[in-house]
This record gives sequence, C-alpha cells and structure tokens, in this order.
Amino acid sequence: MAELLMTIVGGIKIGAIYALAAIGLVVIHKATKTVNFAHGGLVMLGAFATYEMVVVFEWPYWMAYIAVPVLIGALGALLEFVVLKPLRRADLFTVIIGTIFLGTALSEAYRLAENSELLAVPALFTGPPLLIDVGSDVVIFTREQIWVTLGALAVGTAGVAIFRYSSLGRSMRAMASNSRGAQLCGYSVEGVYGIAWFLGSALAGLAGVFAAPSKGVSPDLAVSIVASAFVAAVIGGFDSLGGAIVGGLLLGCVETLSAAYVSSSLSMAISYFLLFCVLLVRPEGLFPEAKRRHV
Amino acid sequence: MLEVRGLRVAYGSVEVVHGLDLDVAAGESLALLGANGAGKTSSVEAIAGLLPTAGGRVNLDGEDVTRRPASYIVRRGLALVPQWRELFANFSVDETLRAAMSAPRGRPPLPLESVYEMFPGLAQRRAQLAGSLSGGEQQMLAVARGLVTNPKLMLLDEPSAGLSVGVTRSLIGIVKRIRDTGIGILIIEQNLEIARALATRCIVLSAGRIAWSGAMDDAMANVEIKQAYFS
Amino acid sequence: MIVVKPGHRLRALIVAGSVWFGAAAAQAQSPGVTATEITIGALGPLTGATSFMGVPGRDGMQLAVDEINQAGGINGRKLKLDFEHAFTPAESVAAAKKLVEDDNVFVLVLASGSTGAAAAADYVREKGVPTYNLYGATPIIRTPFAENVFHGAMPSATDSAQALVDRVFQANPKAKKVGLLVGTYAFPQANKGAVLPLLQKKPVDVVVEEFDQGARDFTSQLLAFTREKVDAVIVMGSFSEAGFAIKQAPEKGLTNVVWVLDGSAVNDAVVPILGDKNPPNVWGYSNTPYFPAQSVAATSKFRELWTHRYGQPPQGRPNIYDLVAYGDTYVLAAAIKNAGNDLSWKTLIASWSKLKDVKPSDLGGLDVVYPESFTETDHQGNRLMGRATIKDGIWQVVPN
Repeated sequence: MAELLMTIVGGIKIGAIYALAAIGLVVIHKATKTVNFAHGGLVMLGAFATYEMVVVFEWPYWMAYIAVPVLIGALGALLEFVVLKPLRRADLFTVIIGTIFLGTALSEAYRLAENSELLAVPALFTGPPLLIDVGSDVVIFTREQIWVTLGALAVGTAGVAIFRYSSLGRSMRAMASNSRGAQLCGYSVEGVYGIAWFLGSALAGLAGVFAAPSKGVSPDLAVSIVASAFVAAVIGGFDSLGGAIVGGLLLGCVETLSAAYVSSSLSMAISYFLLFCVLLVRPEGLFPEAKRRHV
Repeated sequence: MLEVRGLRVAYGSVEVVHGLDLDVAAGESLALLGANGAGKTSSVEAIAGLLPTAGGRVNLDGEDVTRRPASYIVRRGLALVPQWRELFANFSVDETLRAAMSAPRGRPPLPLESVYEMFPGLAQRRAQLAGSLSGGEQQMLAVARGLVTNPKLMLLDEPSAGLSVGVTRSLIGIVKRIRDTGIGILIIEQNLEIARALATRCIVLSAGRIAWSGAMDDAMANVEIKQAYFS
Repeated sequence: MIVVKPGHRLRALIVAGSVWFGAAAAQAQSPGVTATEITIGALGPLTGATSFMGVPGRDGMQLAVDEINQAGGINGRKLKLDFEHAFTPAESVAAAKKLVEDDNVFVLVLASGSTGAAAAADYVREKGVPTYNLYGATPIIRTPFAENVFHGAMPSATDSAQALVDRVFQANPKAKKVGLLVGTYAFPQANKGAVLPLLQKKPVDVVVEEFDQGARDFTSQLLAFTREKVDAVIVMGSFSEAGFAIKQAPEKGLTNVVWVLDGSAVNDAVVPILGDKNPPNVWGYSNTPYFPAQSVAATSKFRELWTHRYGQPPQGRPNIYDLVAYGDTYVLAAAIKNAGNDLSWKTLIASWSKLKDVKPSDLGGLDVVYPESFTETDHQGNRLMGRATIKDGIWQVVPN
C-alpha cells in the first residue's frame, strides 16, 4: 500500500513537469498553429539558466523562479520574430521544420559552449523528508517532491487561466480561431504570435527550473522533455490545455507504475504504447476541442 | 477621409484591380457595385490591409496607410465587415465584442452597452457561441464587432448576402443609424435596391476598372448600366 | 597502390630498398625503424562522443614520448608518435591500415574504447603488427589469443566485473541480497552479463532492475530494492544515472545500503549530483593506483608536467586516460628497450612477453599506473584494481 502510494507520488511529480512543458507546447500550437519542436531546447536552457543563477552566481533560488521564465520567454519571442517570422512567408510546414532545426541548434550550441556532460543543480528544499504512517507502513514525502508537484501544477493552472480568461489569452484564442477576424479587431499577427511564444516559452523555462534539481542539465534533457511533452499533449488532444495537464500526469503515473509492476526497463516504451492506445481508441485525444463550424 | 488613388491589387502575377480611385467623406456613404469577379472584394480588402497592394496609395484621415497591416489600419479608425464575416466560432457574443474592445488601439472603444442597444437581438444572446447563431445574427455580430472598434469609416462587404428580407431590412436600418452618427460608409452590394437605400453615390467596377461613377439615382436611371452589370 | 603483405615480402621490399639507397638504410631492420628514430602509430577518437578517451590518449602518449626523448631516447633512437583520428569502427580499421601500410609504423597503439579496438582486432591479428590495446575492455580484442596483441592498464570486462563484486563484500561481508541497477543499453548490459555469473557463485540473492539510457527518475527501481531489502546495489550505467539513483534512494526508503559503481560512473562529476562531498558507502574500482585529481606526489607531478606541456587544462583533464596513455607508453618503451638494437616485430614481441613488474619510473617516468607484467601466454599487463571511494569531493583510491 505504502509502496503503491509512493510510486504514484513519484509518478505525479514527473507528470507535473511533463504537464508544464506540454502546456507551453499547446499554448504555442493553439495560438500559432506551429508545433514547436524547439520546446525541449527552451526547457533545457531554463534548467541551464537556473544552474547559472543558483550555482554559479549563487542567487537565492526564488530569483530563478522569477527571472528564468522572463528570460526564456523573451528568448522564445525573439526566436519567433527573428527566425520563424521570415519562414512563415513560405508556409506552415517550413515553420515546423524550422523549429526542429532551431531545437537542434539550441542543444548543439549548448553542447559547444558547455563541455561538461552534466551540471547538477541542488534542490530548493533539503530538509528531512516527511513520514506519514499508512497502516503498518510509512510513506515518505520529500519537501522537494511536494514543492515540484504542487508548484508545477499551480504554474500550469495559472498558465491555463491566463490563456482562458485574460485579455492576452483572448487575443491568442481569437487569432487561433480566425486570424483575419482577429486582425480586423486590431490584433497584429506579429504581436499575438510574440505573446504566445513569450507565454509558451516562459512556461518551458519554468518547467526547466522545476526539472533542474531532479534531472540535471545536459543536452539530452532537450530531447527527453520534448518527447514526453509531445506525448502528453497528444494524449490530451493537443489543443486542450486541461488535456495537457491530465496527459502529463497520466503519462508520469503510467511510466512509473509500469516500471514498478511490469518491468523496470519498460518506462520509455510504455509512454509510446500509451500514446498508441489513446490514439487507437480516441484519435482526437482525450480532450478534443469542440469541433468548429465554419463561420 | 478615405482617399484611394490608383489602387492596384494582384494575386501573384495576375492583376485583378487596375487603378481604382475613390473618396469617402465623413458621414457620407458610397456604394461599390459590379458583377461577380469585378474586383470589389479585392479592392476593399486591400484598402483594409488584409491583402497586399500592388500599386497606388491609400490615405486615411490624411495618413498614408498603404502597405500597413490590417491591425494597424483598424486602430486608425477603419473597420471592415468582411464578406465571410470571419467570426470566432467558439467565442460567445459577449466575448467576441470584448475581444474587439480590448485589442490595442489609439482611440477608446465604444461602450459595450451602447452597441447592445443598437443590436437588441445580440443583447438577448450574449452568452451564445458565435458559431451557433443564425446567419442573420452572425451578420449583426460581424457589424457590431466592427462598430465596437469605434471606427471613423466602415467597409461592409455584401452584408445582405444570404439574408432574409426581414433581416436585411433591419440591417439597413442599423447601417443608416451608423451613417447618421457621422461614420463614413463604403458598401459593396449586388442588390441595387439595398445600395440605393444606403448610398448617395456609387462606383461601378467592371473587370477591375471603374466603368461608371456618379450619383446613385443617376445609376438607377441609367438603363445601360442596369442591363450591363446587374441583369 | 601497393598492398604490402606481412612477413618476407615486406622484408624483401626493404632489402631491395636498402640496396637501392645504399649502406645507411641497410641498418633498418623493420618498418618504422631507422638508425635514429622509431615511429609509434596510434589511433583513437579526437572528436565525437568518445573523444574523452582519444584526446587524452594522444596527449598522454606525447607527454611520455617527449620525456623519453629528452632523456636520450631508447638505445640511441628517438621515438616519434604518429596519431590518427578514428571514431567509428570503419574509421578505426582504415586508420590502422593507413598507419601500418602507408606510414609503416613499427608498433600500433589502440587508444580507442572497446568499439575501436573490436573493429581493428581482426586486422591487427592478421597483420601481426605488435599492438598495444590501452582502453578496450571488449573480449573481441582478447580472444582468441594473439601473440602480437598486448593489453595495458585496463583489465578485461571479466576482471572488472570481479572487482565490482569484490567491492560489495569488502564493504559488507554479510551481504545477503544484492541489487543490480542496469541500463538497458549496450555497455551496462554487457557488464551485467559478466557480473551475474560471478554473483551466482556467492551465497546471495540477486534483484535485477533496469532503466533506460539517460534516466533521471528511479522511483520504481528503488522501491523494488526497498521492498526486497537489498544490502547493496551495483549500478551499471553512467555517472549521472548512478548519481540520481543514489540521491533519490533515501526518499524511496532505501537507506544504509552499499553502493558500488561501475567504472564509467566513477567520475568526479557524480559528486555535485549527490550534493555530498563525503557520501557514505559509495564504492568503485580504479585501474590506476591514484585518480588524476587525487593529491599524491605522482599525480601532482603529472599535473605539473601536463600543464607545462599543454597549458591550463580544461575541466576534467588530465583524466584517467591521460594517466594510462602516459604510463603505458613507458611500458611500451621498456619492451622496445629490452628488444635491443636489432629491432623487429619478432624481437619486440619476444621482449614484451618477458616484461616483469615494469613501471614508468624504470625509465625515469612517473608511476601513475600499476606495474605491468606479461608472459608468452598472458598478455594482460595489469589486473590490479584499486578500491575507490568519494572523499572530500573527489574519487580517491584507498587502501584495501
């Protein structure tokens, strides 16, 4: 019983990070129709910036939580403006290919600039774990675990709320729903795309801050995160922010549970198996957006 | 207020509008007439910044807005109600109007309540999704969305297309009220009667060129024009 | 292109050449050997994922070659290093061919990992060129036995596996249950194959848990170890995988266990991951008597020598591959020296097979590798492995 609980708690923690990364991916996709394959690179840079701030410059940790999303958000908006905007004149496909190369460029630039294999980032909380009695067993929670899980989910929910209820979010949703209509209201494509990339990239950066202590900083982080975020987003329906959260948590739990009770070498394979099953039963994902009528 | 000189519009290498001149003053209304494919929609979309211009100049209130994006031109006070309405299907009526209100602009938007007062049908359906409205209501919403931006000039692209007689009549009434507040109107119409009800002057386009221009009543009296372009 | 076959044809060519060129060349007994110089060929990855072996291989060898030459060379001849970049298996074979057939080197050093050594194995066996395998743990270069192939400071995978098992019982002689935490990719799987039979000979139960390459979360594996109440865990994977597993263990209820890390995880970069400069009960083995960063006379002097020759080292250098390349070049030099003035592949192989407890200091070098011995039937120079643990933030070799 205690073991099952601890397995689930572990799964939810990874799942929360997946969810945060997936939300950023979905925000950018919803607003700009672009699947951002460079998303993992932004998460990696977020983790790297955390390392620089916390370990190299020895700033207090909370500053990383504020500065990193702003920094990575601005970088994302800049990349959209400098690299992707010119590509958009060609077509959407070119933009998507562009993000693939952008992601590779981010990882490789990092690999060139930083020749160590892995940078370790200390945890925010290092106090003794909390022990909770469950019958005869003891369940162990670390403060870090609780912080990452609740923090990532809170930030993710805030991201969803901004997208759904703020006027910034409304501009993105309007642009996604009908780009000509949005322009006729006074929204510029560049402006809204810039905001979407800022918000999506800021969420990626925050995912990096949350992931840094438990995953370390390495170029591989980019690929592993974008793969998981992508799977989580597709499970959730790709255009649903709530779906991305559920998809992330589901993926984290299924990976950990299958590793624990089926085979520990399965966790990577199982995420694709889960994706396959979801697509087989519900090709539109678990939370498809309402089908739009042409207006 | 709106001053268009030598406007040319092309799709790739195919030019569809070959030098259009027109003027609309404040509170004035001008109809743009012509058969299908004459270049009417291309012209207004180029004026509103949705289509790139291939040549010529568009002045709005003395400012050269040629080649400016649509979002900029809206902010300067020109609202286009496009032919396909271009609504946000998954937005409610209220949210659609709020989206138009909260877009960045130099001038304050119209208060929401004054717009609802002009469109009582929409006021009753504030929470309904745009995609689930009837055709007439959707057209009203498209006009209301343009009006919320507090324009000096409205471009309406065939607002009566596909609407019932009753709905068309109330639409005419609303456009008249808008015109009477001092907003300039440029309307594209296939239906001469509707055009006459709203406009005092008209321009007839044929194959991308001005074929005739003058007072609306003269156009109605001119049998040749009626037969050539509106048979 | 002339393809030179080994043996008499080659010698015939050289004899023909010496007749042509006159008396001076007539003294050359073998390819790569002149009256004043001996060319040593070497190959290894200078770029790519395994350049952490090849670059130190080149630098460490050059360091020893320079020192030996400054001290007057060997029997009056100077050494010359001819290093070829080779990363992929195909590049390794091509580099070996080029060195032996075009550059006519006297002896070939494999400063590549197991992949490069395995790729070149057939070629060097067929060719008969004296070959020194510095880093390859793979059995492919070791079996079948070849009289011309020698192995240096790094022992075979089987010997390393024994060292891992030994570390468990050195730390906890009463261990009854041992966990194996193994990566699903090639090298950990190969090492698992070597460790499992050794463990099965002991009176212990074994619990195997696996993880994917690059894994950072070990919740399920650690919970399984907790449930099974293992006394020790052997980790086969990279330093980062091992580091995150150890760091996560207490929060999964796994405490007071002995951790034994595979060779590739014995890396100082694991320390910041653990966040503890003196973690209790983390063990590994070392192929050299000291780690490069350990402050003892031999390594401090080596670092000085290295910095004097190459300038301020980048992070993580000199590493263990610098030490092995340097030390084993001295072992090779001793073999050449003992072969005397009449240098040929045959005389070199014969003298090499008789080396006993050779150390770099015999020829004036620093003893940064264990002494090496060879016989005609055993070409593994070193089988000693140090007991390693993390002290004061770095891996250190401690007395057994």
